[in-house]
Amino acid sequence: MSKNVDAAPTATVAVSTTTKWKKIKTKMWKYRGFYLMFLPVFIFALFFFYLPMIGIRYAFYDYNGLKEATFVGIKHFKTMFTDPFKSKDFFNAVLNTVEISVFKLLLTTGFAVIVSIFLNEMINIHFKKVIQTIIYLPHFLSWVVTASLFSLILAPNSHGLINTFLLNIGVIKSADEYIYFLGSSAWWRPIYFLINLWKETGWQTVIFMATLSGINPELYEAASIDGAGRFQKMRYLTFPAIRNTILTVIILNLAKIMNLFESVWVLQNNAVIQTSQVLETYIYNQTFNSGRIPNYGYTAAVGLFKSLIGMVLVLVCNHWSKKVREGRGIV
Amino acid sequence: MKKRVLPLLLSATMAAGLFAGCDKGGDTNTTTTAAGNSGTQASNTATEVTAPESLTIMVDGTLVATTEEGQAEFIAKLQELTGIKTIKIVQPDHSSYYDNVSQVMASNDRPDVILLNSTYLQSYAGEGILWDMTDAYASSDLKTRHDAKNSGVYVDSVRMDGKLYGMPMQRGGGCVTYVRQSWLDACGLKAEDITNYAAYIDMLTQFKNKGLSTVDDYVIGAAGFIGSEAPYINYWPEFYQDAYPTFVQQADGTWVDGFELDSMKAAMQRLADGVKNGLIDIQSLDQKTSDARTKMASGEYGVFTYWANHWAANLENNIAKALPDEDNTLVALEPIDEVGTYINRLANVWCIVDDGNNDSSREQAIFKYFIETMQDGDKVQFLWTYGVEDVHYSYKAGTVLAGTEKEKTYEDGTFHWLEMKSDNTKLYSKMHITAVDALVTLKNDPNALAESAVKASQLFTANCRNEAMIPSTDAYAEYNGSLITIKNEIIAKVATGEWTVDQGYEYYKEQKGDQMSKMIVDSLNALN
Amino acid sequence: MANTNKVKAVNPNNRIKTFNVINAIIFIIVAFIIIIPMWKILSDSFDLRTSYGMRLWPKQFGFDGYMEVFGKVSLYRPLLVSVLTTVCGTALALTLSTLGAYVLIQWDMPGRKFFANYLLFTMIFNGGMIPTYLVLSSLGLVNTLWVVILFPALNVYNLVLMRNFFEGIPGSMYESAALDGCTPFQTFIRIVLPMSKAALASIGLMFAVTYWNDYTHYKLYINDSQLYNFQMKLRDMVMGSDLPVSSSLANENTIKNAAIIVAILPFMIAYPFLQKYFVKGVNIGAVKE
Repeated sequence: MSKNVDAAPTATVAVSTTTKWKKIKTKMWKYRGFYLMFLPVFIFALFFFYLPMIGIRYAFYDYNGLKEATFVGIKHFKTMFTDPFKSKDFFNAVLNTVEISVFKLLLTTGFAVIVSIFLNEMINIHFKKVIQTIIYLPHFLSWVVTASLFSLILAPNSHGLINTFLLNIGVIKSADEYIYFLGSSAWWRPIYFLINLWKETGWQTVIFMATLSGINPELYEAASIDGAGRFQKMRYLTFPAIRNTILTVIILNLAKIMNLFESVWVLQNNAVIQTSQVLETYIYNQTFNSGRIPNYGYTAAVGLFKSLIGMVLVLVCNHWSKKVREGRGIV
Repeated sequence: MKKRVLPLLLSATMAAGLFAGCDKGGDTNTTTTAAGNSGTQASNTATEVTAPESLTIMVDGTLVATTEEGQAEFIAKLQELTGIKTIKIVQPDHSSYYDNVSQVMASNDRPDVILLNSTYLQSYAGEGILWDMTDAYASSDLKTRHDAKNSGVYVDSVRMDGKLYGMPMQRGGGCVTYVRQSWLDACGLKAEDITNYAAYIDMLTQFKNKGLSTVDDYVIGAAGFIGSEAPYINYWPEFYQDAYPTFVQQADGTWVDGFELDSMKAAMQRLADGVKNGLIDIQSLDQKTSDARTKMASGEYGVFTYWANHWAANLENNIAKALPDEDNTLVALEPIDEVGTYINRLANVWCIVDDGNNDSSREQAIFKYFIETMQDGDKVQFLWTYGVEDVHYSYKAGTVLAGTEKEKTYEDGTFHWLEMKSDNTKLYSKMHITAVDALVTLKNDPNALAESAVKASQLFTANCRNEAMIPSTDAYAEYNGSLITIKNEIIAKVATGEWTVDQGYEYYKEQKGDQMSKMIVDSLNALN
Repeated sequence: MANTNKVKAVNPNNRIKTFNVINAIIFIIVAFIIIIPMWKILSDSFDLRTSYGMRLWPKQFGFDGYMEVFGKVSLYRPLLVSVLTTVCGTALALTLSTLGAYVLIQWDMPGRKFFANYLLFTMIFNGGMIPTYLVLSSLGLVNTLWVVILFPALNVYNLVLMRNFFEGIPGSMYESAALDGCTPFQTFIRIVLPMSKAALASIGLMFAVTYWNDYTHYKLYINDSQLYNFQMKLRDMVMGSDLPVSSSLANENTIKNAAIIVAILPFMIAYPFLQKYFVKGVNIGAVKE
């Protein structure tokens, strides 16, 4: 609304720059309190994030932390993309990372939204609270513990709950047919997604539930009077209310998409390396097995590459979200 | 549009200024400190080496005396015995030790002495930041003490091109194969008779057929079909035998890739057969060490290859806890004929950080007063082995309410460990050096290790060979990471039965493993 | 099929009931799937004879695992560190997030877009392990608790989520505040914060959990075990392989599982209290436009 008022004087096309500056200055003066309030955030970001970013330059250097870094141009990027022996593994890892993390993101967010919407419909408050508490608990287990728990549940022997169950209901005929879920390339990814769903869905609902709590109950009443059914209300009231949050969560996560590490690392093993190798585990293996201290130049180059992918994804999605959100991006 | 330019410019210049400032500051600092460090000693080039004024030590979790386990007392005692006035110990979290080492070495407060594994020893020595102690060692009393116990071979194993950049304080140690005595008895077998692979497999088969395991599926297992670090094969000596999955130097000095030899093909076949015949636990693929140990303790495995020394006693205790009604005795097997010898890992070594000036008097002093004294065979070695009297151990009469015996009274004058400060249900069991693995005989050694541990350790020492250090070349550093990943994948898929051995080697070619391997072999041979 | 036919036949009230019943049943099944693996940990924490295997009831029941955990004097200090850093960190982090979020909803403020990108940029680019260490070290933060309190306090992800909540506050609120002569900061304290209880509760919880579970920052920036928190100690217990043998009745596994439960406990207790803020509408419901 105020925008229109500001826009009015621009009718006179040739406004001198000085008056423009004056206008901005007046406006900045009006917002002076806000600049002051942003100052602590600005300083924190400067010291903890921007100062260390000096390290990005190492992407173009050979640097081992001991000697002066030597400039090598785009050598590390060449190694990544064109080395006859290593580029194939590199691209495989990049592709795996994108596939696994995008699918994981959509899956857990999708499930969290569905769970939140249906949880929101629950009438008995106590029951709702109990369910909410239960489903968010797995978030507190570290990935190491989660991995050992599931490798037990999925064990290809009489310990394995799932295999024993399959044997009892006759899906598999004998002990020789036990399925090694975590050790076979075909099963690894579906199982990985299921474990992620188990662990993180409940936690993700926290933010959606908080958003839903902000909906004015009168809107529901009004909708009921208009004869809207339960599913119609979910579709036209509940869902739009959390649409912004869904978009925000997805886009923000896209920025970090290439950082997938711990959950994969604790669940992967030598037999499923081709389907499970993501960029971070690839770098870890390369570093750990090279028999030398890592060249931080190479690590920095990979980091820069990851950041660029993240940036492209965020910009594209932000652009798209501006359309959905009346011109406002997620930040 | 324009209204955004000003703040953007402002912050850009501000950030740039800060970056530049930080960068320069960091660099100058490094040089000044390095110079400052040496300055105090530079003028003092007298022949008589005196104890350094101060010393900063960086060590991982293998030093039991952490800040909460009596580090202050440990330092005080070490200062008193060595004459070094101020000693500071930097001890980061064990699991992220090398991340911390990298960070600290990149910053301007490098330690004077640092404990490193062979990978970091090679890299840092190659960068010229470790002090070459070859000459200092050759003319030292420490060398004569090593010669007296024939320990020189362990020092030689960490030499690079004849040069010594770090001093091992003990043997690296390795794994031996333990068998449940009660299982042997049940089959009427004797450990001495298990002398070759046929007898070994026969033993496993009998265990399996007799149903001695609490589960039907297997009788032996470990964490991983192949280890993640050298010497890779030490959990499965009987199955790998003479095969080795990475580069080995032959008698004539030339290098070959052990993975490409027939011995490796045979070894993979043995593993695959073991899994197929239900002897080996297929979960060895992805289980953790602690899972494997738990399976051993609860009677699922009867055979288990694990670390010699105090682990022998720990494993027995674990069985006693999990299966209180059963005989928990473990017997360590001598290596079967096909194995020949178990493998002794390369030990971690103590290195002196070169301060960068051309005067070595400070490094000489550190060698003499820190490195040498740690293995003096006397009081300082005792401190590094057993800790501080009446903090970690005691000779006073008293009752100990912890450990395996739960309650035991000692008379005056007998050595006994004390309860740990952080957990009074446990006893200390070493300080930094494991007594049985020491390279120098300790005077007045109380021999406090459990009998089974001593036995396992002696059996190992009598039957081991040293792991060879592979020199790092550019090709090695560049391609071995990829190569090992391919090899590990093949071993895993063949062992679990997904591929045959031949399919595995086809994949090896397909992934250009043979070409990468050749490049590394050539680069290693070029060193000769 | 049979089900839908039946639903069609009955009146809307019954339909709602049927929905509720089905909804409840589905959630009971979901809760069950989530509970089983968690139950295994709980059961093992009371089982003095744990072994490898999917046993869901203790073979030999006992509290020794918990007695071990609580009996360890060495755990008191880490617990104190955890509580201290969680409380201070969460307070600081919420301050930064709310301030930042409040500024970011001033759509008309000159430089707003720059500030937004300034923050977003930090989410995408980072300098790497060693440069970060060098900066923190030159600020004198390494090996102090400051680093584990300050470093995670600015979290752009949470800040943007917070801003998302603030967007939901109706513009009329600001207008009336302006009429009353409130400064921006007064508006922030009197209007924005009280109307965002759900946001403060949920994002505060997320921060608290991050601080409580943090071990990465301790691993990299602290090497004095006196300053370790409970998670560091817990990880030692879970991963620790070279443990001396204890005289306790409980075995390694029992103690480990008891420690895992103890680490979750504070949030199991605190969560129901926080929940009341998300269960019913707080902000918009209170305003009559």
